[in-house]
Amino acid sequence: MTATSLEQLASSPEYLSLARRRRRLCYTLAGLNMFLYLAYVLSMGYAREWMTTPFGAINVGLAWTIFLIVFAVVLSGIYVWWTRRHFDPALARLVAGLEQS
Amino acid sequence: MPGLKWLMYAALTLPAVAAAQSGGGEAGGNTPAIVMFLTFVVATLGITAWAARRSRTASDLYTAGGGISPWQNGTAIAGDFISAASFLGITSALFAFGLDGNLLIIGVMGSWPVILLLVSERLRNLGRFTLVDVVSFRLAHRPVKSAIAVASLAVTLFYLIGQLVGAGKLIQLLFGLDYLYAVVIVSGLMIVYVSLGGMLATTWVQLIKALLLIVGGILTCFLVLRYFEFDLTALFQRAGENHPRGESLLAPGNWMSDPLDGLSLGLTMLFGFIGLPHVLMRMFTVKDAAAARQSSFVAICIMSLFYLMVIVIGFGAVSILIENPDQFYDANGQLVGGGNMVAVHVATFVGGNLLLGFMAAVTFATILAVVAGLTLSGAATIAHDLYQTFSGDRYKQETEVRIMRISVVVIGALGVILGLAFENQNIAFVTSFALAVSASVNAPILIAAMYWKGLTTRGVVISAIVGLVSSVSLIIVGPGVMEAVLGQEEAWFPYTYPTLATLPLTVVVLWFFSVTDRSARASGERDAFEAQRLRSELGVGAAAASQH
Repeated sequence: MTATSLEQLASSPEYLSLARRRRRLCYTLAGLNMFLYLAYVLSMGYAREWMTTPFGAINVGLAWTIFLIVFAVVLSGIYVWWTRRHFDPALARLVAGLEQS
Repeated sequence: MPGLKWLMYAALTLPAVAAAQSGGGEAGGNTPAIVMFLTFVVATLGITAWAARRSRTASDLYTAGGGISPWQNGTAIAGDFISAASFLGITSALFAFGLDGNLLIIGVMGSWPVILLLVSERLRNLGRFTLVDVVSFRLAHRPVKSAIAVASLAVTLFYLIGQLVGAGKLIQLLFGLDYLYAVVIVSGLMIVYVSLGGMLATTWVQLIKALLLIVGGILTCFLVLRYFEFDLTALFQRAGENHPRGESLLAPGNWMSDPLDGLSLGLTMLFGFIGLPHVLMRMFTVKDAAAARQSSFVAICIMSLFYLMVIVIGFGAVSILIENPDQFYDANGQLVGGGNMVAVHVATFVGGNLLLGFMAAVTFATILAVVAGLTLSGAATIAHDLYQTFSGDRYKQETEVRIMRISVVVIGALGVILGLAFENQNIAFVTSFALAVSASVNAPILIAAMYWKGLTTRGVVISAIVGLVSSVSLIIVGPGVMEAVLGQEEAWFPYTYPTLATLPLTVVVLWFFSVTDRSARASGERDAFEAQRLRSELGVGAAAASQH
């Protein structure tokens, strides 16, 4: 791709909205992840009573630990699925359209 | 040529391995362990010979020419985290402190989604071999590369010393092998893998070891569950009943009694894992940003499976070891072999000598694999980031490759010397140096370089120096060194991990010295951000996989 067609692509409204959607998804998921992580670390220090409250057969602290381990997979899975299903094909279409014109 | 050299090196190290075999007779000698370990060594040396024929250029050595598949790379990345230190260390932390030990797991699982979402793809699109490439993308090369290279080398060397000393002790226990031999064998093999086989060999060693460790983990986990008749509730309940701490084992506060200490550890891990040079380097071994994204996802899946098993093994260990005191406790009521042997004892109890041997061999292999990755990353920083930048017109690719190989040997030798020097020191603080520097320097500067337009050369250089000096000195005046090593009553700085103070400090310094930079160079750097952002999102012009 040449420099001019790259600039054309970069300033096209289709690309801008696609890139914005990806950025928004990334920031939302990363923010949610960091929020839950810091909440966990802080609860380990400041909400010790609550962390020992029974939760099913175990307690909140253990359940939250297991949840976070599984949640990392779910969160990453959502992003990887979305980029493969929507972002990559849409970007490929934009690039192909540009190379044809 | 490389083939000949390889034979020479192999001839040099194999007698040492043989000596290991004969010396391992009395103390902890375990024939299955030695046989399995030797098999691993022979297999990985074979792979190294194969990889050496394909590793001629700098790009081959650093990143296997970008030809690793996402599955392989993801498994190798996971292998960097599920190391001997983490497997034995985390099970032992769960055994000793219960719920608080989980902080070590959540640290890794909390930082990886951030690496996937914010770092991996942009990193792959902007860099070629190292994170230094990415930070210096639109900034003045010499000052920025020097500053970040020093921080990267500090992280890598601290991490390496921590691994080597731990490795020496562990191998001494598991194989009954002399500490000196253990450290020499690990360094010797690592020099062979890395200097001849480069990233291709390093990745395969890590990949095979990760698969072996996962198999061992699944087997141990299954057998532990069988001990509790597959009743998870009973596993946790009996842990609380058996442990000297009682029910409070499942409550927070046994380890991180000061909440702020826990928070600082949390920040150290969250950002520390993001800035590890030897892990970030693996993002350049795949063909493009999409492959880097897939690698991260594979790594996350493997690590999450593994850590769930570690929780079962760690809490299961409480009942298994305490219900069978004759086997695992000495006359003084201390755990045989010291606090780090929990996972090894569990493997022995549920799987007998064979599983013990397997886990011991995998532990040895895991140390080799992690140490190899660290050394490769250190050598790349010296040869690529420093030599290439400062050689100017005198640059020659052959010289770079030679410097890279010499650096590997020097780092290996340095590892042996420092490993011997620190043999009888409590060096837990060395690893906290590595993570704290990574969290206070590498991670914030890397993220700012990719996302913040206002970043300038001056900001990076000053904040890197401030972050490095402040995190190292706060660890020295903290409990990890002043109390544990120097034996002072009370440390000047109360927290083991300084990140709670040093990360905000670095960020403020970075911001201040960037926004007040009114030079022409700085405004050029800000203007270059748009082009950088485009390349980081689209990958146009990013280094492609080389042809073989």
